[in-house]
Amino acid sequence: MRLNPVARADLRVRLTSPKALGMVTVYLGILAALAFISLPPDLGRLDDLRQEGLLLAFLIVETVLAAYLTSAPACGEIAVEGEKSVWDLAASPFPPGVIARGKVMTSAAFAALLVIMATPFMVVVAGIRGEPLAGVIRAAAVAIPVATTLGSLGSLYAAVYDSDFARSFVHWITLLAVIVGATALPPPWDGISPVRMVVVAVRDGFRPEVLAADALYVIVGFLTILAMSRRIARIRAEARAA
Amino acid sequence: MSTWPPGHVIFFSLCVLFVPLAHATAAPALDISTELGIGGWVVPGTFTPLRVEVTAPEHVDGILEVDVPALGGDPPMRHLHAVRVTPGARQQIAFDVIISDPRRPLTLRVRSGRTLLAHREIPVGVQRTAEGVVAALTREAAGLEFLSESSRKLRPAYLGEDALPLRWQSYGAVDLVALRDIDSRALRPAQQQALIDWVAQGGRLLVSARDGGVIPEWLQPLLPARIDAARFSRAPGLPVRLAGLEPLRGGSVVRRAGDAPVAVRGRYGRGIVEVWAFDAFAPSARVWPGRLTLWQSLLAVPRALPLAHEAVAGELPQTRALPGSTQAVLASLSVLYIVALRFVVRRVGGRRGGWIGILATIALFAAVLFTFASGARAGATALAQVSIVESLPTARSARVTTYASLITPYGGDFVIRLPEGAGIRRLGPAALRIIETGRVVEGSAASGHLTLEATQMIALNLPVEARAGGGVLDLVVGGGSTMPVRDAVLYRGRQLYRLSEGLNPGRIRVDPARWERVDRPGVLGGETAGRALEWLFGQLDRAAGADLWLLGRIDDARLEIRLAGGAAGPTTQLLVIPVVVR
Repeated sequence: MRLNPVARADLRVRLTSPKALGMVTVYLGILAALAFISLPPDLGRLDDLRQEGLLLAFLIVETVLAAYLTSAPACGEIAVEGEKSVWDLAASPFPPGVIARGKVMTSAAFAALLVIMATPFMVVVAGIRGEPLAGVIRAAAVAIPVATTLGSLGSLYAAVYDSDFARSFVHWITLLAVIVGATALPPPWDGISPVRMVVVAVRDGFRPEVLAADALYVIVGFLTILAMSRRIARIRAEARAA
Repeated sequence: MSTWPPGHVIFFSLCVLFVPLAHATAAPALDISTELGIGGWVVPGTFTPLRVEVTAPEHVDGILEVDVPALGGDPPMRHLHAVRVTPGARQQIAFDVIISDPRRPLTLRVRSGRTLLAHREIPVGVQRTAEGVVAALTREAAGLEFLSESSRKLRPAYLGEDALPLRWQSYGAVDLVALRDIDSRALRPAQQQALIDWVAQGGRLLVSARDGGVIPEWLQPLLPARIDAARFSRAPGLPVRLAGLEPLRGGSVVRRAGDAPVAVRGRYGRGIVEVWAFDAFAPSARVWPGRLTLWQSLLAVPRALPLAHEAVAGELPQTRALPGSTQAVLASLSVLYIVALRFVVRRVGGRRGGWIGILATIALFAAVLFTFASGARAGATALAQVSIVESLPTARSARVTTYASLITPYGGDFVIRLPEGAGIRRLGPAALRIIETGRVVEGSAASGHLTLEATQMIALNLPVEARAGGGVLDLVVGGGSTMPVRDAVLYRGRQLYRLSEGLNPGRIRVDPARWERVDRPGVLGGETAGRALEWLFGQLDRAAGADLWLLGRIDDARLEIRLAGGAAGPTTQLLVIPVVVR
C-alpha cells in the first residue's frame, strides 16, 4: 500500500524536526507530571475522591492536548519547519483531493501517535488504581477521531484564511466551542463534547450516544476533505486567473 | 452459489435452541432445607445460625453460596461452602450470618462450575426478629409463655439437641440457655464446647433438675451445685418436687424451701450458671407462680460484656504512605521513557519502517510501567491489628477479639486468612466473600480501608491471684501456661505498677512505692500498643469482677489475621487477666 505523498512528507517532518520533537516532549512532560501528581504519597486519604475520577481527568487532559497539538500545526499556529501548508501545496502538481486527503491522514496519524505515546502514563495511572485497561482503550477510540477532525479543520482554516491572526482566532474559537461550549450544552446535545464522550466511554462503554458522536466527527472530517478540495481548486483557479 | 437446504437450517436452529435447555435439565434436582435463627428467631446485628441440609439423587460437587443483604446500599456479605453429596446421603452445612436488614431475604445458590443447580430465597421478615431469645433444650415445649409479658422483646425457643449451635458465636442472640433434657449421645462435642465457651465469656445458663435426669460429665465443671436426681422429694408449700442440691465452692443459694435449696447460682468464667432443684418445664411447675420470680431474677442478672470494643480500632493506622522509593522509581521511569522515545523518534522517525521502532519503545515502557504500578499497588495493601485477650481463669480459656485495619489503596481487592474458630464481622461497607471451608475472606473495600472484627476462644491457663496481708501485696502467678508475657503491668483505679521483673510462675512482692498515676495521655508511649493499653484502662475503670487487673503483651500466632502472602503486619496483642485479692 502506498501512503499518500502529502501525508508521508508531513509525518516525516513532524517526526524529525526539532520543533515537533519539542512539542511532543512538552506533551509527554505534561502527562508525566499529571500521572505523578495523581499518585499521592498517602494513598489511603483518598476516600473523598472517586478513584476513577483521577484516571478520567488524566484521559480528558490527554484528549484535549492531543486535539490541540494535532490542530495547531495543521492550521499553522505552531509552524513546524519543513511542513508545507495547503497554500504551498496548491501550487504543486498534486490533485486537490490528494492534498486534502493527505492533510486529513496526517492529522489522523499524528493524533493516533500522540495517543499511543501517552500509553505508558495512562497504564501507570490505571495500574496503580486497579482500573481496567479497557477504559483507556475506549478513551483512545474517542480521542483519535476528535483530534483528527480538529486537525482537518485546522488544515481547512490554513487554506481559507491567509492571515495568521484570523487562523489562530478561528482555531481557538473552534477548540473552545467543541471542548467548552459543547460540554455546557444541555443533554443530549452535550454528547458531542469530547469531555462528555470520554467520561461516558470510560464509565459505561461504547454507548450509542458515544458512537453517534464519534460518527459525527468522522463525517465532519470527510466534509472537511470535500471543502478543502474545493478550496484548493479555487486557489488554483484564482492563481490561473491572476 | 450453493445454499443450505431449508431442512438443515431448521435442524440447526432447533439444535441451537435446545442445547441450553438440555444443559438446564441435566442439573440434578437438589433437595435443600434450611433453618435460620435460634428456634427461628433472629436478633439483627448478631451472629445468627443458618443450617442448610442438602440431599441429591446423584453425585454433586459444587459450591453453596449464601448472600446476606446489608442495610442501605452496602454490598451483601457472601458466605461460601463446598458441597459434596453422594446419592442418598445428605450434607449439613452451618453458617453464622449477621442479618442487618430483616426485611430482605437471604439468597441461597448451589453452583457446580457455571451451572446453577439450585436457587432459593430464605425470607426473614420483621415478625421473626427479637431483642433476645431464651433457648430451652427440652422435650416439653412449654413453660416460657411468661416472656411475652417481658418489657424486652424476648422470645422462647424450644430446641432439640440437633438445633443447638455448633459455634459459640451462634449464641449471639441468646439471653439464657435452659437445659432440661440433655442426651449427651445426641450432642456433638462441638455443640458441647460451643455452649461451654459461650457461658464462660458471659452467657447465662440454667440447668433444671428432672426426675431420672442425668447430668453429663462435660457439664458438671460448670455447675455451682451437685444435683442428686435420685433424691426427689416434695417440699412443704411448693407444688413441685425438689431434687437434692448440694452447693459447691462459689455457689450461693438463691432460694430455699425450708432447709432445702431450690436454686443455686454460681459463676463459670464471666458467665452465670444457675441450678434449679425442680423441673422448670414440668406441668406442675408451669402453674406455680413462684417460678416467675426465679426466672425474672435470673434474667435480671447483668451479663458481663467483653472489654474489647470497636473503639479500640481507632488506635490502628488507617493509611499507609506509598513509599518514597516507589515514587522515585516511577518518576525516573517516566523521565527515562520521554528521553528514550525522543531519541528513538529522532533516530528512526524519518526512516522507512521507523514506526516499528517507535511502537516497540512505547510498548516496552508501557509494559514495564504497568508491571511496576501494579506491583506498587499490590505491595501497598497492608494489615495492622490489635487483639484483646480476656482471660477467663476458671474456664482456663480466653476470649480474643481482634480488630484488623485493612488498608487497600484505591479500594483494591484483598484476601485474608482468619485464625482457627474465628467469627468475622465487618465494621464498614465492603464486599466480602467468606469461604467457610478455608477460613479465607476475599473482598474489596471501596474507600480503600476496612476494619474487621474477629472473635475466637483460645485455651489459656494462666491463673493469677493476689494475697494481701501485713500491709504487703503478693502476686501469685500459677504455672499452668508457658506463654511469655511482655511489658506486664498491674492496674487499679488510674494507677499502674510495672512488673519490670517479668511475669514468671511464683510469688512477686508488689512494692507500694512503685505505683504510678495514669494521669496524662502517652504515659505508656505513643505507639499502638501504648495507646490501646490506655484505652483499655478506661474500660477497666468501668468493669467489675476483679480487684485489680494484670495486663501485658503477648505474641501468639493463633490470634493473627494474615494476608494471602502470610504477612500479619504490625500486631499488638494485649492480655488482660482479672486478679482477685484474697
